[in-house]
Amino acid sequence: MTSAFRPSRRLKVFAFDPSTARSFAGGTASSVTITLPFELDPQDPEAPFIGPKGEYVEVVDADPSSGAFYAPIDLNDAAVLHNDGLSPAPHDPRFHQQMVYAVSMNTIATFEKALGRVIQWSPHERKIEHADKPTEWVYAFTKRLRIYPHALREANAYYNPDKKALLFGYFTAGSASRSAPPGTTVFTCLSHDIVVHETVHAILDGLHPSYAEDTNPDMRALHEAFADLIALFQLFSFPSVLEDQIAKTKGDLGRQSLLGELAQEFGRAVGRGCALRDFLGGPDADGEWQAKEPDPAAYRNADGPHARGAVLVAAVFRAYLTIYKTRVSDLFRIASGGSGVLRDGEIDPDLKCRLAAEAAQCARRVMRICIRAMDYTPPVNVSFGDYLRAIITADRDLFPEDAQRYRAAFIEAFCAWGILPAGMPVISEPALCWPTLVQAEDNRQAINNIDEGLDWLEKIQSNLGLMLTQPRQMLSHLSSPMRISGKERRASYRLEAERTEAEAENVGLKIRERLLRLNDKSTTMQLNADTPARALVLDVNLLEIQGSRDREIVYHASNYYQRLLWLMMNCAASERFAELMGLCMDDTPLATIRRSRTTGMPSLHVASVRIAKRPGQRGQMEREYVIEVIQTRRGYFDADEQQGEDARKPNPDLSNRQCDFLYRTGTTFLVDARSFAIRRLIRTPHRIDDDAGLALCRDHMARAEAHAANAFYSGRSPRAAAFAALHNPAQPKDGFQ
Amino acid sequence: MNTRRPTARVKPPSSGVKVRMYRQGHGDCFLLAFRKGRSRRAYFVLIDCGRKSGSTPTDLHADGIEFDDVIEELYKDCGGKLDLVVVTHEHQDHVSGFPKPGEDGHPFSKIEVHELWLAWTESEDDPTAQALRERYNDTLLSLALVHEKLSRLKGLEGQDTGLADEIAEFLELETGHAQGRDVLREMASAMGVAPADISAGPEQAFAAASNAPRIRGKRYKERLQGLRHMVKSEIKFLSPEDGPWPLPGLDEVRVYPFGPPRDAKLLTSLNPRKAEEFHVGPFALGSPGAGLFAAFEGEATASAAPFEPRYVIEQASVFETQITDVDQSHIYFAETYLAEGQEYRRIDGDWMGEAEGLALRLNSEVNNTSLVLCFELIDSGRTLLFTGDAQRGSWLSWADLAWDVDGRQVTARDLLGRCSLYKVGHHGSHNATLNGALDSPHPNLAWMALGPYAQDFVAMVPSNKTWAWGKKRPWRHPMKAIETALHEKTEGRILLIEPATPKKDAQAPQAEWDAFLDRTQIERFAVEHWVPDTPVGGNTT
Repeated sequence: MTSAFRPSRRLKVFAFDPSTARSFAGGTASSVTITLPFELDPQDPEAPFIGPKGEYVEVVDADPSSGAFYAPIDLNDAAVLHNDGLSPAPHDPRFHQQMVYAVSMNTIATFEKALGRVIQWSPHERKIEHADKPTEWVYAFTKRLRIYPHALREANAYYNPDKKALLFGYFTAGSASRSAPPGTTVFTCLSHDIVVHETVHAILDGLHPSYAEDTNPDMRALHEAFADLIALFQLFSFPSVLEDQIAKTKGDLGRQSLLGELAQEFGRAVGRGCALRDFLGGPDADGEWQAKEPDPAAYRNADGPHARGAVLVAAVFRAYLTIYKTRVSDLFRIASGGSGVLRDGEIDPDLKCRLAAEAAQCARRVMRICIRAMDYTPPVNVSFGDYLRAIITADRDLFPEDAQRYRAAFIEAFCAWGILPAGMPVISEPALCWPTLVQAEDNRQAINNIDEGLDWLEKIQSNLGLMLTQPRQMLSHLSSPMRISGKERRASYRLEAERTEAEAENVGLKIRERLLRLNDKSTTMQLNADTPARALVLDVNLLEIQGSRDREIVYHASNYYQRLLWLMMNCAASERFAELMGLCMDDTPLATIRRSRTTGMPSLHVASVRIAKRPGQRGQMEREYVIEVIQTRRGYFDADEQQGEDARKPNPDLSNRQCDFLYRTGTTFLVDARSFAIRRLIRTPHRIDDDAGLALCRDHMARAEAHAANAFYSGRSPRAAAFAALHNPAQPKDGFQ
Repeated sequence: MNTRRPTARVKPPSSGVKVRMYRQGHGDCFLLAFRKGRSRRAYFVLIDCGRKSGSTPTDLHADGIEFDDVIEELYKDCGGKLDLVVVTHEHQDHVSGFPKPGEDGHPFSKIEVHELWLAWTESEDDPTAQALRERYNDTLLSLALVHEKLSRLKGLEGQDTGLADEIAEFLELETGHAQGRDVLREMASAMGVAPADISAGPEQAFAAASNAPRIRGKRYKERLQGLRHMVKSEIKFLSPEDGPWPLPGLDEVRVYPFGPPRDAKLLTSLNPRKAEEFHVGPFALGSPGAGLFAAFEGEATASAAPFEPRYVIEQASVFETQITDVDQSHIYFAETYLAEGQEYRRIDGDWMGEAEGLALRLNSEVNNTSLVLCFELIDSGRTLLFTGDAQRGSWLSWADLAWDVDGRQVTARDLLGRCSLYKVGHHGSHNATLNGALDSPHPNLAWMALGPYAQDFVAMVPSNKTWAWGKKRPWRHPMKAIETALHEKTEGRILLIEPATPKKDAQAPQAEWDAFLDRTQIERFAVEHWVPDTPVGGNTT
């Protein structure tokens, strides 16, 4: 980039869906301007920016149902660039493209800010069948999420994880429509709420691909509720959107829950059967909107992803309101001369603005807390209780003192709605935090009634440290199959080591590409273009290199570490390490557990090695690595069949056997980026060889199977169907389940 | 043609009725044999005759037995004469054994059919039935075109073909044809579309057929037409507000029609069509299917686009983009949508995903038009329930049913409580047997076979379970939860087509189980169970 001029990109979007002329949409609030920092999606201001096709997303306006494409917008066109984008215009498809771009990018910016790193889309996976070898799965980096603003002709929009694409629909409003005039076209891509919601599905899928699996009653609900929460708070982070509603409260602190009405209205936009905000409130006998009192039994009784998701939304929203009310109580006292009770009539416009600004600020904070927690969840099979623990731990690790009482608000709200981690006798902030390594080890020794001291933990620490800071040396150390016996296994191990080496080369190539680009401009130093790529993978911590805004380098570096860690765990892990981590690595007789071809032992899948950076209480940068390890086991609905399969002769080839469902467990561990000490262990409640966990999963899967909306077999791939079907109406409850 | 008919192989029971579930494959074919006065020949009722192709039970398949051979056995069993044929609804797995018009060589054509009972929804004169049929036809036309269009995308690399395969299965259930273009051709031709329009291509056939003037009572389905021509005496259309009906010449039996419901809401699980609603073809604006139909009516051309022409680029011109093209829009789409290696991200067929829901709904709506019959054996009060594939809506409607019999009110609830044999709906699948408790407001399994009737209550599930669950795209027939509930309710007295041998529940008293086995015969071509017209509870010793 030659120009020093690096302007933010400002783009206008609808805050409210234009086709829904609700009572709220009066005045200035119907559109807002989104500001995207230049660095987020750097584009040469001199060149056209068509599509938009940027670093993260590409908007492709294909409408196959009409046999048409719609001409792409050029965001660098002078009339667009200098005018904060096209003015909101439902009749112009280029405005639609601008809106989905701006809203999705703004959502991405929110996540990157909260997580302290670039976000990644889930990789494209491809199955390669070999005649002579077992089937191979190949994963490729997904550079851009594709957005199709006019892909469907129905009142639906969804994320398709196979295509790495968001598909938005449009439809003609029917006479039952409460808002849009019958016969007019409603575009789901013009609903801010829906665009954020679908983008969040894609981001969360990139963070945790296994969360799309329906393995317990909370999984689908969590995806849905999380997307809904971010969609809601993203809108609430625009103060102008809130002002009218805050004016309606007439400055009565008790009536601040009226914000829930606004939240609910957003959820109803476009009427695609969004039941997620049902528990916020509703009109009372006089037609006045009232917030709903929390129901501690709601979570236990809720059935299906929507009902359960609605409870989570209600709980987080309650926490939000508590935080907001606490933060504005001083404003009320100041404005009322200390009484806290304002005089009747219209609210003072200055106060209204201050309240709206506070509400928006709170929305951003709560949103950040909710997002950060996603690094603190178990890698698979997560429940709402786990999510609460994640929220509390994430916030506590960053802000040891709960000065603003945010965590207290969350705990109170979740308790009020009955969302509590299973098997937890005492609910308190420290108890809710995930165990530290030392706590976990103390418990392990206590259970086994042994006293081995804690010194051995330092070995883990130094191994991790060496691996992260000197990956090349670690790799050459691990390259020879030391503890592996048997010819085939050695070969398989060597293959894994070669793949790791190849990934290192990948990273090297990408770094070289970057360097060569600099090289062209440099006159003082010339990089030899023939330098082998691997020579460039210096022994430095690749997760912290300067190119960390280059998502492709980050992707390959992360893959490289995943493979290294896999080699290391397979070579160096001890039994007590496995026990501590909640992993099963000994030679269990259970044949249903997926086994490694290399070791013949239960296989470990290192799902992620990523960095998280965030400013702490004193402004210091807190850095830590998030590492996820997953194990998998074949599950059968029939208990006898399960027993039979469990009792087979263990063999890695059994992994691809037909089964009814997959049972997964795993551990996330957080590693301090300075000391390389493991900070916290986040384990699923059951280990892979624990039949109780398997039984829970089976119960749910059998119920979900029975819940399936029909008597036949769906043609969609399970992952694609997971998202497309989420927005379908719920089933009646008098069938067998 | 008056060949001598053989003597019926199935002898009438001493009292009550023998129910024979044929083992032709996955589908319904039931022969009921009643004692007719003092006659040596039974009164034969056939309920449905169909199956999914390729679903022959393995033991019969191994001997090269096909559907025709099973129909031949049926012919021998009934002595070539059926006093009454009941067709519950027109799905392949219920009607594929009937001959098409003019199929004289068909094994069923030899059989003499006296009376035919159909649901009121099959009547030519009923305006509601007529409206239903029109919507059915339009929906089916749309689905057929969806299949045709999706099939054309099949060559495209990386595109999921699951949806096309799924729609094909539904088309086959409805029409016997798995290819959308065959369905379109047949339908268009039956609707009087000019041959030139039909041969012009599926899109043209669709356009011509959807604009064809509606011909009253015209149906394209062939099998039922063929059967109608065979009827010697009368075709009766049954409705739940009528009856109960006697079986001619029998004094001991009354037949109560439970469904299909007259209430349009329960029949179609949709809001009744309102005059003030806007419609696209058969679909209310904004309802599932409306988008599909609108796009098809615009022949999926740019004229159907929701934007003014100046914003629109014809798809064809994008697909034909040349390397030398300088138009920046064309270049953009060539580098994104048409980029090599990115085919898996294309969405050419995704907008037709709605067809999945539409097909499911059509399927369950047709299922719900099932003629549901409850046979009452008058002396003992025992009843037998044949639901066809009736769905939830039909079940709900039974709650309010009542008939006046000799000045006494008989309710459906009362009849269900006396049930001795339940022909399980839709091969035991989702939503065709309702769950609940005795005090639930809606009819459900718990309402059936109460008190002493529970001890010999039998469930017959016309399912080749081995085949259905083992399909490449498995069907949950029967569904586990329903099978478990039935197993508990009947203490194991469940009869399937395959596996045919029932499994005793460990809790079941041995005497009851032996009594059940005494009345049950597992034969090569059929599973038979006898429900005697004797009081319950008196024979447990």
